[in-house]
Amino acid sequence: MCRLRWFAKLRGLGAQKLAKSPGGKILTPPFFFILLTALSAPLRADEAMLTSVDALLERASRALQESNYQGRFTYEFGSTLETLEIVHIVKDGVEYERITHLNGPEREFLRNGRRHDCISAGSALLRGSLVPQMGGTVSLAQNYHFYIRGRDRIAGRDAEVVQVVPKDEFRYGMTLAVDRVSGLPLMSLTTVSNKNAIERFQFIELEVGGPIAETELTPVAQHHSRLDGARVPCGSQPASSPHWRAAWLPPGFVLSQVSNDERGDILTYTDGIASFTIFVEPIRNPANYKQGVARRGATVALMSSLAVRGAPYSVVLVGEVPVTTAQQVVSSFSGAN
Amino acid sequence: MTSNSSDQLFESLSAMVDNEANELEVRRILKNLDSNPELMERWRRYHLIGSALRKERSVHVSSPGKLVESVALYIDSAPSQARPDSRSQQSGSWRDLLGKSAVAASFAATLVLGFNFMGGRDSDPVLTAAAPTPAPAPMNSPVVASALHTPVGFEVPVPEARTVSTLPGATLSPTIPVSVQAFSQMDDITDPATQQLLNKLLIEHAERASAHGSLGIMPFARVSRMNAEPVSAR
Repeated sequence: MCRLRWFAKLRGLGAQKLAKSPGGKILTPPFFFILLTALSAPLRADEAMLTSVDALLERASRALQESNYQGRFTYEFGSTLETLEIVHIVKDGVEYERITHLNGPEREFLRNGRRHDCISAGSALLRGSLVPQMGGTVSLAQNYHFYIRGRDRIAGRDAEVVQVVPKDEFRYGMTLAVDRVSGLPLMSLTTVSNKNAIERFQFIELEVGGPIAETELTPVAQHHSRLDGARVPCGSQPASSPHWRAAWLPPGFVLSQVSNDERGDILTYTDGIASFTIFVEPIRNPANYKQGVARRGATVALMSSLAVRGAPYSVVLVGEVPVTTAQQVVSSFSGAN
Repeated sequence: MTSNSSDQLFESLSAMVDNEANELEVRRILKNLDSNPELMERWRRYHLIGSALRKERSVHVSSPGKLVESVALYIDSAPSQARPDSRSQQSGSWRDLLGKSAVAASFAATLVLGFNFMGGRDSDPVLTAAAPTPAPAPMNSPVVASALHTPVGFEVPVPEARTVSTLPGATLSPTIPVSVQAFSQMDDITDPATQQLLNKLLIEHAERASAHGSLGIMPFARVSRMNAEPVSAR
């Protein structure tokens, strides 16, 4: 299925070029055929690499939102190993999913309501789009190199392995293995300095496509969290916040979601691959206020404070970015005027 | 003190700022701080340079003693949670064993020691070698985490922190390269209330991260084992 789309894209590209070419009259069918073949010929190595990784990532992003699948996977960091189960169903264009931790204390997430064709700013970036930001545009390729590393077998499936290498020190890298048949990601490593992995996700078993019984979505745990998928902003335009401003962001990060609740404001930033969320709230009880840095696998939590017009606020950044990035973002985070 | 050893100290200080000093060098620097005002002055300068480069808010290094006191206090408080509880050993209930076996990993308190002022590398616990080749590498437990898990499952601060706290007569000096950018002190975040808060925030973040790239479902797997109350849809 991927190949068809790939050719369609190419054919579309070819058609565009033909339409624009000045010598339109001479483009008789045989010529068209020859031209198309020429366009289908291998591009320069790096272009070919970028386009096929583009296609891989876009396909992975789509497959996650648009397919029916269920399976089990592991999550590891340090000496911790978690096992989880996932069920994802699309019904009448709406996504329903259940994610259950299979070991340790009960943790379960049920998320319904997002439309399968909802493309947030982060998803748009992941799919290779240009997203506007502060007078310019950002794209995934500006901030990461991509390399196809070969094949592997994961959860009994044939996978393509892609290495995603950051162009700066402000973010982590990733090694991703994608199912060649369904496009779903089967394994993901978050890497530091392209050498060491600090966390790993990997499917052990996976069924894709075909109908999945809705009963599979029934919560298993006594305590479970219900999340409203419809809350996610769709549309590739990044959000904006009237109250807060991150004067410095690592290149390529955009504000993708702003929300607030009775506690305070919540701002999420992403570059398409990595994300972090900043929680800002007034400090009501100074005795409860903590500051410092905590880490868990690839996730950092940085707790700090901020004064706006004399009032103290607590600022907490949680995300999968290096600590120095978190520090730099938080130190330049301030109230907007 | 001969000028030779002074130069050595300055070199070690430089290395420490670049996150390349070894334990011995750090100890030597600390020992010599009181007797070597030039050393203290250089540290102060390095720190301010780093601060300025990163356009941080100005840090008041005028009261460095206070800062280090809180750092030291923090360090001292941390080990008590890592030491095996003799009582639970005797009681031997399976629950205690579960707690000590570092299975329930939650948020690690990293004291950001050894971070490069100039915005360099993290000291990340190593999980496994990232596979540029498709074959996955075997898992290795990182030394830091496994050795120092607390009952709640925290990764205790990196070893350098513990070394400093046990130095006999160590003068609490500001040459510990703590990234002071936003903090006047580092609080102990290993208490259950803070851990629970952090886990809650992690769940919120996971929900958003999974909707915005990050390839979907994975963020939810990061949620820790702290008993977080069910999150209601907001």
